[in-house]
Amino acid sequence: MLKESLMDIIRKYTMLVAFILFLIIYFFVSGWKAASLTNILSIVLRTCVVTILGIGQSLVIIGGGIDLSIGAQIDHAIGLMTILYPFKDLLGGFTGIVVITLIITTTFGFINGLIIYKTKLPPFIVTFAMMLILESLATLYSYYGVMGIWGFKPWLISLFSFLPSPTVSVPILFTFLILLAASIIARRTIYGYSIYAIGSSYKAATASGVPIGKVTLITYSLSGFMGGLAWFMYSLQVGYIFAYTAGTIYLLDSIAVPVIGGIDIMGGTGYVPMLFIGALFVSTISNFIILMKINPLLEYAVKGIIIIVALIFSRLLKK
Amino acid sequence: MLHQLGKIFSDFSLFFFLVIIVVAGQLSNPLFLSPATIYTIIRGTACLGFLALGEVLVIISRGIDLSVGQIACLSSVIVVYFMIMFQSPLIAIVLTLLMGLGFGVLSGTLVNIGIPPFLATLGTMWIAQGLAEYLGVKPTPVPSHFSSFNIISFETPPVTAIILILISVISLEILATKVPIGRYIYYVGGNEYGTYISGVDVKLIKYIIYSFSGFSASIGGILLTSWTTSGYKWVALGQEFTAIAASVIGGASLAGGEGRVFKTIIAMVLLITISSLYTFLGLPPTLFFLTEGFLILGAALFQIKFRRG
Repeated sequence: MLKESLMDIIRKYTMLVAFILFLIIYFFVSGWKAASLTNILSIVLRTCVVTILGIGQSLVIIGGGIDLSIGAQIDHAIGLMTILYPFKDLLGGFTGIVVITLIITTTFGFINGLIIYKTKLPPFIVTFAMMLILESLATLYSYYGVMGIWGFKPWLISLFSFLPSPTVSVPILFTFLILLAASIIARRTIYGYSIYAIGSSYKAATASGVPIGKVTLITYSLSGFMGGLAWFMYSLQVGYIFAYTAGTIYLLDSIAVPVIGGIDIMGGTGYVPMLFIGALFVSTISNFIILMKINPLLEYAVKGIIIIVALIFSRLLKK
Repeated sequence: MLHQLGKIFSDFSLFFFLVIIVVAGQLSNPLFLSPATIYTIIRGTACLGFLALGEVLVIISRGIDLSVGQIACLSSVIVVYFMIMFQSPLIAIVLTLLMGLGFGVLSGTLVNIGIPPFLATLGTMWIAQGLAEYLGVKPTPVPSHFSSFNIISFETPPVTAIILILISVISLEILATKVPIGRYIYYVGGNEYGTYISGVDVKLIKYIIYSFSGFSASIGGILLTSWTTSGYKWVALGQEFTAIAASVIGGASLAGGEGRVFKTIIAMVLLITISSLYTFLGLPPTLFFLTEGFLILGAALFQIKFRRG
């Protein structure tokens, strides 16, 4: 009985099992050096941006769509910052700039949702076009904007001063709070049920009176908002603003992370907190490459091989 | 009547777009339609077209292939690497094509054991990217005694490029629309389970599509090397998105079962023409992506409007 239910859990969370196995092997191979608190904290710290992006992305994916513009939102926000910075005093300091940027990213998400709902075009195409537009705007801004803005990080940290230990844990605590909120929204609210309903069957959801328009708009706006927050976390990590294209890298990660965590890319199923396991997995592989002194040029190759092995393993476990 | 006209227009809309762009370019600068520009467009289409050819077949079968750009990059690095190692362009080309085929087979295997195409090809993309960055730290020029390898670059009417792309497009178009195995690609995309039930070997079809995609991406990479005369790890960085864009503008639907090979190539010509027009007018290249974005939206809206009739 107990054995059967254990097997059930393993089947359900195959990727978690694969991750724990990888972690044990990693810890063992590194001679428990990797298991130190500092190292684990640095692994978790590296997941922050991707986790926040992944939250927006997984809400969209569960609802049967995909948001390709979410990575470009980061680049666009960075570009926007370089434009807005000269008017810093006019807009109310960094706080004003951050608020404006968050509003603008949310607006672009809203536009995505509006086009998808009104025209019934596939989300892939709409958000793909939006990605190109945002990337283009970002580069355009950086033609005219200032390069390199310092003093952003101390301000951000002072913003978080109500949280304990502002140097290391601020982003982690912030990310966990948002992850918790998103998990509760997805599983405990009517809006959450609606995205699962739309993702599993659009027709059935329409027939049973789910307000598809409203839900689509909220989902894509949230995704845009998460893109803005991810920019925020990214700036917190990098420490200064610099027009640099991080978007395409984060885009693929933001989709890979929920899918590795077991959220079905076709929509309708999946458990939002599991995306954190996916984020941890990817981040641990990067950490593995650094700590095991593997040539950093091979990072992607090692990442690809480990992810493929884990996927095959989780497939075999499911059978 | 009006509907039929609309349908004809939608079939040839890309041609109209292309004509409008060319006329606009010609009006803004009479030198636009010079042989040099046309040759550049042809060369670009021949190189990037091969990425799109594999991509569109995968998209028709309701998958997606993210690895084409990085396979092309790796091919570019590796073909020069092998050329120096074996002192023979022929062996280098054959080995590189086999490498591309191998990546395609790997993607196909992963997709066939049930991994979503997005993740499977992301994995192969990462492996190709890692190997390309590891092997090609610096751009390596093609050795001077093999300068005949740079045929795409030095041939002034680019005959080889034209022949290669034309033969590939025509044969693939016939394959996809007339031959049973090509039709099965559409069936797999339209209704995979139904195709399986009616006795088609779906797994074999998927193996063929993904292997072809890897293979044709490596052809694209070799041609790019021949054009740029050096092996460079970032030669096709991010071009998987151009390939996807061309497929979508050419009428492929990511829900599978739709899309045409020759329309994809025309969409590729369109994209490259617009980008060379922008270079010609001295506009910032970033504006090109803006246009590309609106073009994709417009093309998709247009198709939806006329498909519903």
